[in-house]
Amino acid sequence: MLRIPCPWCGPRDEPEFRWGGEVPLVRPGPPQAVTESAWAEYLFMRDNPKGLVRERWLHTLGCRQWFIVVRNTATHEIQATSALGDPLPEIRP
Amino acid sequence: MLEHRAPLDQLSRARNTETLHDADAGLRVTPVTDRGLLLLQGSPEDAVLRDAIGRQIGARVPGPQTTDIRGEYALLWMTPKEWLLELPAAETSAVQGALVARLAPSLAAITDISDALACFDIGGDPAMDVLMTGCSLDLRPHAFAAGRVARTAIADVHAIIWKPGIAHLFRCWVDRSFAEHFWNWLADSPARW
Repeated sequence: MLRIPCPWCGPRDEPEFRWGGEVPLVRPGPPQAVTESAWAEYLFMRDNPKGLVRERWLHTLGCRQWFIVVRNTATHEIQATSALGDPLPEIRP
Repeated sequence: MLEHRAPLDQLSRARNTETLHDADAGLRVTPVTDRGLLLLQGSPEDAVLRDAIGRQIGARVPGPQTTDIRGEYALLWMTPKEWLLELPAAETSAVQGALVARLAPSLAAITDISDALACFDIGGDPAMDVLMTGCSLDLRPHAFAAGRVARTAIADVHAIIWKPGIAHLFRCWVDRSFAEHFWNWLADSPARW
């Protein structure tokens, strides 16, 4: 079980949260000008690194806010969190 | 004709739900039906909102995880843009009307959600231990001081838990439809620990 430090509520258990995927993920546009392969890239392709990754989490059962977590996908270490609107946290190697 | 029913009315026909009191353990659980709830939604930076709260109930807009208690009124932090105003049930619509008028120049919204949630007072020496068997929060006094409020899951259902600062007492809200489940879970609790 992960203990995730929500920037608003403090450390809480993982079942209170929902995972929201890697960030940053920039929607391409304008829609008419985007090729099919660019859409496919945006919709389906992720870096999925082994190691530190920035991702979005939603505190569903708490403050219901999305925020950013820097998590190590190999060890589950959580290096940093930040509220949306704040600068993205740096990934320290 | 619509008839108002308290969350545990259905259950109380089958058995007594006035107070759950375990004399041996000292746990005391009371359904609270004389309090109203108004949900305030707006920006904490909104001067109109801050002013309306200040003038109407004399409270400040509380920051994360905290409450501001003024006499019979308590303002509880819910999310960065939502607060719950807890007040005597009889005053709910009057206060809502007054706040709606004060908040007219603002985008802030105020909604009466009194009947959406079921409220319980959980007191007595073991109250903290009983609640900690059902949620992952550290409710010991050094970690969860008087005035703290948290939204979490207790007994597998979404709940709001507040420590009003009266010895050993916790006030909890669950969704109304889970009132019976929560009550039964509390009734079984002395056996569990």
